[in-house]
Amino acid sequence: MSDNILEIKKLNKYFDIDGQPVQVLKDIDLEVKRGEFVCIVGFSGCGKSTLLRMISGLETISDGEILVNGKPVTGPGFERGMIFQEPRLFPWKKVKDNIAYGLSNKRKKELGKEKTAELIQEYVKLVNLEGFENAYPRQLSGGMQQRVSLARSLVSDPDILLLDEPFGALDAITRMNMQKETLRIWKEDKKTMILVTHDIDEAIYLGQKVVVLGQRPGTIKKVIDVNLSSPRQRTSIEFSEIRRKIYKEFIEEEEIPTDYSI
Amino acid sequence: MNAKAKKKIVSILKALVVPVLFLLLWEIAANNGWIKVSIMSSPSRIYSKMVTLVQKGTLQKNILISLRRVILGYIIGSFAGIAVGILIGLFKTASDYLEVFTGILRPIPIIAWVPVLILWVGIGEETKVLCIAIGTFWPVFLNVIDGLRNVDNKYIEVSTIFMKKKLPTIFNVIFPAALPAVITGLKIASGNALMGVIGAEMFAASSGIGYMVSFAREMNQADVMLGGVFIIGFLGWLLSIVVGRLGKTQKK
Repeated sequence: MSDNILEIKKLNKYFDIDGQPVQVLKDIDLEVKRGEFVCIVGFSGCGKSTLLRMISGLETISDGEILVNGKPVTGPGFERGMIFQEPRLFPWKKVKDNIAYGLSNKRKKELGKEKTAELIQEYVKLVNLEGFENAYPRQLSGGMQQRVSLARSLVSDPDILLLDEPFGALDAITRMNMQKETLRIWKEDKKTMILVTHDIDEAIYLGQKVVVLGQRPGTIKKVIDVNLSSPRQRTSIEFSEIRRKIYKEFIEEEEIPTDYSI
Repeated sequence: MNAKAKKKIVSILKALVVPVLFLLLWEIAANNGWIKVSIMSSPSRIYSKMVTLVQKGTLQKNILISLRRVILGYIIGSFAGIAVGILIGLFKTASDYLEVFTGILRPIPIIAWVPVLILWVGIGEETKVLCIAIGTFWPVFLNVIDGLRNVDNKYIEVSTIFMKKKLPTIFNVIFPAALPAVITGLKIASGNALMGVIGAEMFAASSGIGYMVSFAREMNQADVMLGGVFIIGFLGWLLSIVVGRLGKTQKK
């Protein structure tokens, strides 16, 4: 068995718009190693969320193949967890019940009531929300809600966690905290993580590999390895070097005059 | 006295200003002959008439009879509305077969059912209760369907991602998400229930508040008639408060 947990081969996606097929993604080839943290960056509308939703099984594949653990994806599965931009918690369920929703009924039965409660508590701890188990989502801040969502996806112990601009709706400080938290969880839980974002700094800060998507149709323009020691300093020269490299990809596409400076 | 209690008293006083002024003006107008007392009556006349009716026992008897009909009809209509609403809201086949049929029945005013029901089930209690049930049914039915169909797809996707089957999704996601719409339906229905009972009682009854009002008109008793009308308003107001509470406890 290869050490690739995810393989995407010649993936194409068309959307039907007014009866006309419009190509959203074109010939995507991507390999993700077990335990890797991959970030996908691109302009809005480049199809990066669609790509993630196809990996999750929420979106159908028009052409090509997605293999997870060597098996083709045909729909959602417990080996893949998904975090959306909005926490998408159920407002009528308490924090612990929202997290419990991430478990299959079969698993809950296997564990029994007590063990299930213990397991949930473990994940409440992992995302630093002790004391809020019985709170309702509306009583939590945006960042805390996203942590609950994280716990809900992790509780079933997926191999891959897919994150669709998970911190896009948070304020700058909360976002940085959440990025740090995500890195900590990645190291502790040893998950493979694939994160989609339009924030280049976020991609460099989190990813071991940054995939740059071009738009219309979405294609992989470049894959940049981020070989920086952790914790990463956003202000370091190496960091800026990589940032400059990624910006260049976008500036070419936008055809901004060469004297443009950031 | 704490600030909260003070605030409550002030808000009650504010709410009373307009009704009190209205009654006062009416009384003055009646006593000075600005309006015809024989058809407009006056608050003091209505009040003393109501007191005699209470002493005779007819007023509370009529109120209780009407209330009993309202509650019974409301419960039957609500259950039926929720049941059929769920059927059509959740199952495509049911909506394919029933949508047009219910669409034709729905615009029929409650009053139009009274003669039909008299012919079918006689002039007894059933007519009144069914009339109220019909009036309750439609707003509940429509809001249940609306609530079930407009559940945010984002929630459904969460269920899909966690590979939940249809039934757990319905109970964990779709029903709770639709609940606010259902409660709205129940609130609107409470008003309809009252309209239903009064309508039915005016046509086909020998008891109840609606009957009292309509009989008083025949007897030229303006005080009884107007008293009855205000009692109907008051009952409706009470009913809406009770149903409103229901919505609040649900929200927590």
